[in-house]
Amino acid sequence: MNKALILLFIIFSLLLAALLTHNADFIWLALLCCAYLGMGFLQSPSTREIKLNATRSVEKDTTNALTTIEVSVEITNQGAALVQLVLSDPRQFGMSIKDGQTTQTALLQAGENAVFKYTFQSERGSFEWKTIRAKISDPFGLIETELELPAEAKIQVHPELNKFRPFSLRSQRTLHSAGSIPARRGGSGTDFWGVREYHPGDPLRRLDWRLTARHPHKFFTKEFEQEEIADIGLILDARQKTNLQIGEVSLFEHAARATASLAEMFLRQGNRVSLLVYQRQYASVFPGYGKLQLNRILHTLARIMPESDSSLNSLNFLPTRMFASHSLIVIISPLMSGDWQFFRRLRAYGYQVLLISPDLLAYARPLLSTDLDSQLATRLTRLERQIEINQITQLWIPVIDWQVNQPLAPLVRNALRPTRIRRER
Amino acid sequence: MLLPRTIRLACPFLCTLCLVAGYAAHDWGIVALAGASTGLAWWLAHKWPATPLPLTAFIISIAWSAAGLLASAPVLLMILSTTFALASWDLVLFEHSLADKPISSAATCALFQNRHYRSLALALGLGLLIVLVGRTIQVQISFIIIGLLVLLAFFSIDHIWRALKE
Repeated sequence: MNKALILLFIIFSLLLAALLTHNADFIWLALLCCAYLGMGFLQSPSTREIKLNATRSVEKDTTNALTTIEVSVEITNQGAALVQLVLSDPRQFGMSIKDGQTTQTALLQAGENAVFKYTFQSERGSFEWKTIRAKISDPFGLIETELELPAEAKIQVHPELNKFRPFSLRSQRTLHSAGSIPARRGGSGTDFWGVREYHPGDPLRRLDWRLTARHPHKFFTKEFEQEEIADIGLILDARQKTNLQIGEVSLFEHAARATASLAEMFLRQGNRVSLLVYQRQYASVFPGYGKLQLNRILHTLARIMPESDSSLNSLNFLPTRMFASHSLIVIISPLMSGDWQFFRRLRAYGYQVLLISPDLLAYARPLLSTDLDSQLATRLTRLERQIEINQITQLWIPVIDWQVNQPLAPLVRNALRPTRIRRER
Repeated sequence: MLLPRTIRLACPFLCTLCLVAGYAAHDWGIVALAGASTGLAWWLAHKWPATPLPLTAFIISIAWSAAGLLASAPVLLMILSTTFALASWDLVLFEHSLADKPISSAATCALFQNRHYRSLALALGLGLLIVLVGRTIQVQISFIIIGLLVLLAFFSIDHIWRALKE
């Protein structure tokens, strides 16, 4: 509580007591408090006289998850008076302070400077500071003046990447660039594809001498299966309705981490990858290759937060035209009732789809009550989810019902293994 | 470091002592109650300065001083008790504000502490001087003028309140 207000209240009470009891001695007690208050007022620093300068520095612009980040703000007193400051930095969402405090007292003489430091860790996020708050008060702490000192800095914490072991992926359609995915077409790969008649220009080392020997006056060339790259689109569902926060970690964090890991693996294999985040204002990364693209995707994933909006009730509003036709689309979504219709649309457009659905109910298990009503509600929700998944499976879409404590890589490998895809087609 | 610590400990002790001395003419039960409650409150306030205990101790001391005035205890002792209570409250909070190691050089910290003690001594010394001068120079004022003065005081308080809000 404000010290000055307490004193004013006491002075008021003493004056009232003097008036009611007709005893002037109470006024002497009030006068003492007035003298204390008056001295505080006289010595309170004027905002015109205070000249403070703040410079903030953060070690890097971008960093990986759970790296310790040091934030330091250097404050210089350019005024003439000795000032007592209470410096505070608002604690941003996702920050876990490891060392130091975000609120600190500082005493600065004219021309003196002090460094305010703290370190934090984060799972993922985009942290930006514009100012630092400084509270200046008189020696008794009666009158406080708040100042916002400009001190800009920003840092992005990329989500943690789990490096998945590469696996062979069968895509319905490939791009005509050399890659690692068999394209079901003769060309210059490593796996034997077939034999055809020799065309002028074919390299001599590819001649099938045995067949040529059996057929005089004809030459035959061995063909290998062309290996090309795939076009992969990642869709991350960032609807608040499908998210659940337990402690400092949320289900969405697991989904974001999975998206980052998949993007890294697909890009490492040389594929063209794009990203679309389903939230109020779509965040998207257009198709691209390589490390730069991975950086773009990680930047986007670092920025996004789950959002709630009535327009996000269904996946149906998702724009799909940013993905090339017949490309492989990996959707990471815990699913909501009625979302399966969107998958029907995707199939109708000819996309090859994989759904990774983090299991919200399994994640929420520690929070669920054990009473009969809750058990019944949980069972109904589980049934509803199962129906949703069944409807999507009937569209020949592989679904990974992912419990987030399970390793994702083997599940994805299993879902995208060539035989399965071939059978489904 | 020894002097500030002595001052910090002496103020609540003197506050309690003045109250006990003021109530000495009364029943020993009241003397013991006033002394024990004030002393205990200040001891607790020193122990847990981050809680509302310092404020509670201050209010208890003021309340005993006010009650002393009603019970015809020596006015000067009650005024002194209030002065020391005010100093104790300020010093407990000041000590607490410096407890989390402010970012500053040792010289600045010492200078800041000196400035605070000087300001506190000046404020309370000035207050005491005004009170003593006021009590020495007796002026007969009618109740209506007192009432007007009180209204003026209320008006001033209102202005201070507004200034604080701004």
